[in-house]
Amino acid sequence: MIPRITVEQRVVPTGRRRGTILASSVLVGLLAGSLPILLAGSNPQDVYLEVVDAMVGSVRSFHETLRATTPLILTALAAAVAFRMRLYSIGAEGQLYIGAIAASGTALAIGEGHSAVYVVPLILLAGAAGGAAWALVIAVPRAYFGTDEVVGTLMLNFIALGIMNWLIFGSVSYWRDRQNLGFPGGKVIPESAQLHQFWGRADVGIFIAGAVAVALWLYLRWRPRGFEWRVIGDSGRAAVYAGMNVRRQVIVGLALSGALAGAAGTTQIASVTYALEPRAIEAGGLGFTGIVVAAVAGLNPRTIVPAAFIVAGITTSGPSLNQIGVSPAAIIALEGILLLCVAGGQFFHHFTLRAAPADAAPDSAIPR
Amino acid sequence: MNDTILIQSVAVAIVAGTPLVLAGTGEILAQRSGVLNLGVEGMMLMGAVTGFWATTEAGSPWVGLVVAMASGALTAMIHGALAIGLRANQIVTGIGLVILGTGVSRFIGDVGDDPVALRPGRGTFDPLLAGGPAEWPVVGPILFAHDAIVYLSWGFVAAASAYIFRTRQGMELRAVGNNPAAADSAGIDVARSRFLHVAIGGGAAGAGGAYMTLALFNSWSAGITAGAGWLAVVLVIFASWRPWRMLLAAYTLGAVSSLGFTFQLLGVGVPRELLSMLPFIATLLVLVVTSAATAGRGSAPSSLAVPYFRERR
Repeated sequence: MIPRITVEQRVVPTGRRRGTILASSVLVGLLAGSLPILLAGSNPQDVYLEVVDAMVGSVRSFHETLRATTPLILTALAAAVAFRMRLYSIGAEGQLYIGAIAASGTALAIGEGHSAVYVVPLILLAGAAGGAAWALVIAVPRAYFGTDEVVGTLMLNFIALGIMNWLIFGSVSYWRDRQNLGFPGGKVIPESAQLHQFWGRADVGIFIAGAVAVALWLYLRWRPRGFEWRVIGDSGRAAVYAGMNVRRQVIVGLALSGALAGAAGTTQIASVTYALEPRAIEAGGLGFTGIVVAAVAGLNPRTIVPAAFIVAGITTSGPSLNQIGVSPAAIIALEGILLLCVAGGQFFHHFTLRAAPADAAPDSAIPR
Repeated sequence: MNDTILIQSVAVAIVAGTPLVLAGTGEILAQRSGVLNLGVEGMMLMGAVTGFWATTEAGSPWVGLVVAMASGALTAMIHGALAIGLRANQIVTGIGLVILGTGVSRFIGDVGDDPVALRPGRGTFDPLLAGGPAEWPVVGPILFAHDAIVYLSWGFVAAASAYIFRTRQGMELRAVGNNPAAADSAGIDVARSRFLHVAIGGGAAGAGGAYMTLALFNSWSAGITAGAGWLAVVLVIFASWRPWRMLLAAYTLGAVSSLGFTFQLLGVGVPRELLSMLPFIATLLVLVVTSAATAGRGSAPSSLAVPYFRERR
């Protein structure tokens, strides 16, 4: 008898089932990721060991991974907040640029001779405000006209990139370092605006991002808004009938998402580039990688922290792959494969495959 | 004011817009079936690298074109399998496809002792009509001096438009995109139709990518498409899901992107960075205005990006 595979719908998946599905998806992703490495004539095991080594192999690499984790936590939270409401904002990229512009502008305006104790929170606020304002450009039409937020945020990414490039490469703006006559660059921000490095090259950014993640987790879990957003995500109509102000929540949700991405722009300025450097800020693709992290973490702010650490570790291991003769591009491919596998695996949250004997009578669908 | 600069700009706009025409029209077909494939950039990169690789191996750009279409279609099928088969979130898988295509294409370009990224070009598409009409004033350089791919892209647009609006299969395609449950009731295989059109869209995107490496640059470097795939997705909205409007939109965009060059020649000082923002600002305005006017998604297929479950009909 040939078993026939049937698809059955499931009720809400348990946490344990979600965990199993996620672990299997990642495993499938790692296996699938081995294929191009094998085809290129390298040993996948070497590559994966090298990745782990570059992630946590030494104190120095651990610090580098921590630094790379900070912005990823923030952009992943940005994606998670929006995606939980089923608002598919892919605008973290652009919000991050505007956040970086606002943060560096504020830091330059404050100038030298102040204490980091209030300068850092101030530029974080500035970055968050910049990101939120950029998100509002699409959040308001989304709330009132139902404008497609996916393409809208995509547009805003390109516009933000144009603005950032123009400030440094296309004009002699406030942000540009006018003393530098070589390749155009940004003016370096005052020391008080740079994040304090407390331990090797690790800085306080990771605590800021971690605290934001925990706060958001608590807020979404224990405050009514977290519930409201879930309802809006599941059924906008139900939310309206329940008397929720969906328009306002859409605006607030997208603005919060933008603020988080803008804060990531601040940490890039205050911890990595120390100036508005468009190429370096754009290079990370942090907005899109944040979506990878958020998807892998099941949009849960608490799970985003370890997920961001792992993805940051994978990302930072690119250069060290050169040493074993593997193109760093393998890392980008692996990220893509992981994201696709996790996205595909979510099918099993709601469906289950069962082998049924070919000619057996179908199971009774009537509940007992 | 020099007329030849203007004429050359139009001709350049057509050539620069051709990858967008191909990829964008393909994306129209996919979206008409109700599948949003944000992964055009990834599919174009796959087409760009494999097409260039095959051309340097075989010495003929036509071999490269065929290989590029196949690899673009294969990449699209990953999206198809996940979005249609496993009903995955199409936005997430589309972004996954971009990341995958970015990584894999660069990987292919770097691998081996004679990496594709360092190879010189071995053949490009020659102008179809040397002499004759191509020499005519004004219309010659604009209409008749192009390579075969430009004319093939016009044929593709015409065929896609006729297919969507004038054939039974095209009507079925629109039904699948607008109301898959109704299409299913009418005996149309929704999953098959969606999968097919996503694959065609991928093939077209692959061809668009190959046009960049084979005709525009005659070389491969990582990330060579530089956002053209995203532009194609954007233009679908600008073209309101109609192939002929896509042609117009893509050439307009080609003109805008070559405007910087023209302005430089004419001595007009508009920063390149600000010019590059124009198409996006225009599309954003179109998006907001149409959604305000139609209370929602404009002329988008009603079931765009919504997975179809027969069980939940």
